[in-house]
Amino acid sequence: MFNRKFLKDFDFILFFASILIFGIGLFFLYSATYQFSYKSAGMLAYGFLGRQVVRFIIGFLIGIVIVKVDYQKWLELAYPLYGLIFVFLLLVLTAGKTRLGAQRWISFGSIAFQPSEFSKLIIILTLARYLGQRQGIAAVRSRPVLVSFLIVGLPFILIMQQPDLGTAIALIPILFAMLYLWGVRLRTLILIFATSALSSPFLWHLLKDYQKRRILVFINPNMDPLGAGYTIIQSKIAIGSGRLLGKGWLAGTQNQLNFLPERHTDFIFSVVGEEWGFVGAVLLLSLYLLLIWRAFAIAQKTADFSGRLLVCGIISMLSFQIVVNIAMTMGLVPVVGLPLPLITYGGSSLLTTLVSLAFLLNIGKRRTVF
Amino acid sequence: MRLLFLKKLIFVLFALLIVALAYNQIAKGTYYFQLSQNNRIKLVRLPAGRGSIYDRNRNTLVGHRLVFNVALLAQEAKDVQQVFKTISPLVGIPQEVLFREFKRNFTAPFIPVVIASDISKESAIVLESRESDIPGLMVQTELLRDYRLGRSFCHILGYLGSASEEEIAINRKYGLGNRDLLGRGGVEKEFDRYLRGQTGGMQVEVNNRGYKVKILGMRQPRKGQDIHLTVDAQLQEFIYGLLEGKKGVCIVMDVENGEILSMVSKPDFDPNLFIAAANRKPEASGSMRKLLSSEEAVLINRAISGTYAPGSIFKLIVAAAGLETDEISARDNFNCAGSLRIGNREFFCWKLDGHGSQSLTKAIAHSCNVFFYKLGLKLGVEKLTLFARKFGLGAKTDVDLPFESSGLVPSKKWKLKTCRERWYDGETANFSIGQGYLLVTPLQIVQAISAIANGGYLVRPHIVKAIEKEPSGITRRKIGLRRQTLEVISEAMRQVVCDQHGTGYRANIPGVEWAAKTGTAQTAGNNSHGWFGAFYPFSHPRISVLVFLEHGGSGGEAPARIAREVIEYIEKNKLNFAGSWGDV
Repeated sequence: MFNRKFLKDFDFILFFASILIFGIGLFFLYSATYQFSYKSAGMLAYGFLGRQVVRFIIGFLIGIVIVKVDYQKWLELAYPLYGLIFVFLLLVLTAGKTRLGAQRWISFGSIAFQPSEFSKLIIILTLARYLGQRQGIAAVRSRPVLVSFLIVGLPFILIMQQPDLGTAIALIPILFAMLYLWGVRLRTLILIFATSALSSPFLWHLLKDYQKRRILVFINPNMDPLGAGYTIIQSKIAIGSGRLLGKGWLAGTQNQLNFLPERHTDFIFSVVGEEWGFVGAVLLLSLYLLLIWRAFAIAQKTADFSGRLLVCGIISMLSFQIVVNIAMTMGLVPVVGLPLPLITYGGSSLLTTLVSLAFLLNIGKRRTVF
Repeated sequence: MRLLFLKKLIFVLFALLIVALAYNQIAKGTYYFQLSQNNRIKLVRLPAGRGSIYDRNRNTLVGHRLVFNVALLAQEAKDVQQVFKTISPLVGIPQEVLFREFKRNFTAPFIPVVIASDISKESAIVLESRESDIPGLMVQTELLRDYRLGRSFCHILGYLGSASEEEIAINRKYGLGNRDLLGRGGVEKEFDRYLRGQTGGMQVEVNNRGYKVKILGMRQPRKGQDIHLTVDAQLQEFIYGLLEGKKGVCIVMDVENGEILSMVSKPDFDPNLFIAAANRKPEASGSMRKLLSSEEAVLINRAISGTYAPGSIFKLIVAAAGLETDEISARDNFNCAGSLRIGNREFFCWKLDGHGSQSLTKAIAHSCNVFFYKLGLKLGVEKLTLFARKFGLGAKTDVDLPFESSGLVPSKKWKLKTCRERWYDGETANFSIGQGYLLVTPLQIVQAISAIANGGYLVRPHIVKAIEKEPSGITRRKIGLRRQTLEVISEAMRQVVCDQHGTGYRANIPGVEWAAKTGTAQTAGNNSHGWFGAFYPFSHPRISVLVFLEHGGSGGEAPARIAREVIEYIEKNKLNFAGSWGDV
């Protein structure tokens, strides 16, 4: 399987950076969960850590399949996949499971998954496919731009309905980055963005009460220190109190004494910040940066336009999640519920990230195809 | 290239994140670290028991009694309001009051919160039986301060009151907290820092719900020190009974060392009431209001805080001044014609037909006013002022009780300063018989009489014999009087009691030799203040007794009778204070 031909042009830096990030993630997932894993009986068998590792292995195997098959073949599947995920997003709204006030999950037996997570990657594939076939016409025609907005807009509305604000918003930078790379002028994009931002007061009414509250609390966390603002305040305290070198692994008081809610999911970075301090946080950020830097290198080397669009979409997706998630833990942006790639506990997010990375490796290998 | 722009954009965003991290973790790291410490560490106060107070024979005056409190452990109670609703009828306290107490006393979910204190034993038993079906409910016992001989000792002991927000703020580092009581009067106030002890504390690590994770550190509370008083409880109770229904003071003091054997001030109050009020007993609030709004100044210890004109009892000091300055000798006689004209005003003796010619001894025994007008005028105001001060008037005795008054000894200079007027001879005459501007506290008179009895020493009166094992010292100062002066005055005081015409003859006890001086001070009101100051036994004086009745009429009547009963009681019960003077 891993013969010389396969290994040729394989991006080891990207590969090992990802593995390293996941490994670090496991340490903090353990730190965040080992105390309460005994509480829920279902977790007793293999705990959070075990589940996450199993998911990683599944994702890794899927990743191998993704890498093995030329991404052009995957691009050809983009439209059917888009149709499929659309059906799933509809299903979520009608038959989905409700957790934490939102309908995001669909269950198959004991396995529940979040179609909205997978939809991000599928939308990237679809856009790469669609825009890739229409190279060089951006300046003269606006039809592809409208279609792109439709491709993103339809699932966007469905995801908003769940509601999964974070994932929905994450689609916006993907769309804009891919359109920009495709050739739409920056001025035009800014204009579109500004127009929709101005119309956002109307969107305000579409938000659920708890989302409105989150945004209000973001503006002033002390407005509701024991409710929605609590998480932000405790997270800021956790990160800040880590100081330069951190309190040590398993020794973060905010984490271990349970002051930090959601710490194995959206707020896991707070645990890193508290226990490993500034040094650890910067180390993690550097690894992410390394990963993104390699992704850009792949995009630059790829002669294929749809391939480059695909890489660009994945980069925007990952970067946006990383930046917004970390900024959120420091109270710099509203709490929107975006996972930290490779680290946040959760199968759908991990699988999506692993498959995305597999696509990057795939494209990186096939730069000489044309 | 467009890709490069995206790359730069993302790298800039990452750089911004690192800046934000540096700001939060390095620039503000210490601040957030402190916040995280505050999050996890809770301080729990461990209150220290207050010291007890004993009399000179180790009878407990202030101890503690076991009471039952209802407490709620918040972390176990599922529905706090429901608990209040259930127990409200059982303890007879409205639900809102319980909730208010709960909020006021809450510190952490793992600390039981007292919501009703000193409930009846019956309620305690009922509640105890229901502890198992009301989660979080606890019936606790507590030692509550108990004034065993409350009323008779109220002014000596004082009382306790809840610390104010301000006092808590000032004393927080000494461990003063919300439910703490502070001494507000008497020994409780003066010796508060000894009695209070040292509050202990526990540093507890808690989790987000405030539940205890582990104890990080602990300082054991230290019980306050016990205080032993010089007072004899038996005598105090007896005298308290004698003064029933009266308004005034009786002090018994050891003339040699200044130990106060008894000090009763009427009207009185019950110090237990303050404890009940601090524990929010509903029945206490009415009595408290009555007590605090009373016009009788019930809380005032008249023995040390009340200032009055001494009346004729001051003549002892005038006599001493005369003898010491050789302005008069024991053999000199002055004539009393019933009145004396000074300037254009007539100054009367209490005996309007006059005492005739008489010696100093007789003048004291009969308390002749004219004699002392003449003597006083001969001496002049300066010498009267000087000797009044020598005998300790006009200055605090430094007794170990709070709120002592210093009284007032007038002088020429004082008159000029306060009244912007010169001193008149008529005022000297008034001064000579203890009237006019002169104001004294009963305790100052006891001190002065003791000085006559003990050979001319001004001893500091005190009420605390020892703190734990540490005896309090005796301080005394020689006034500098000739022995002869003291002998003449003592003999005269003897005559007051045993001479048939003596003003204190009513106090005569056959077979008991003692000496006294009466005083009747005219007041603005209708009835005079009555004074009766005595020492006993005559040959080897050991104790001085002072009775003062506010508007109690002539000193030779009710005050004299009370003093006689005190002496008789001491005689009859053979109270030998020396016997218990050994170590405490």
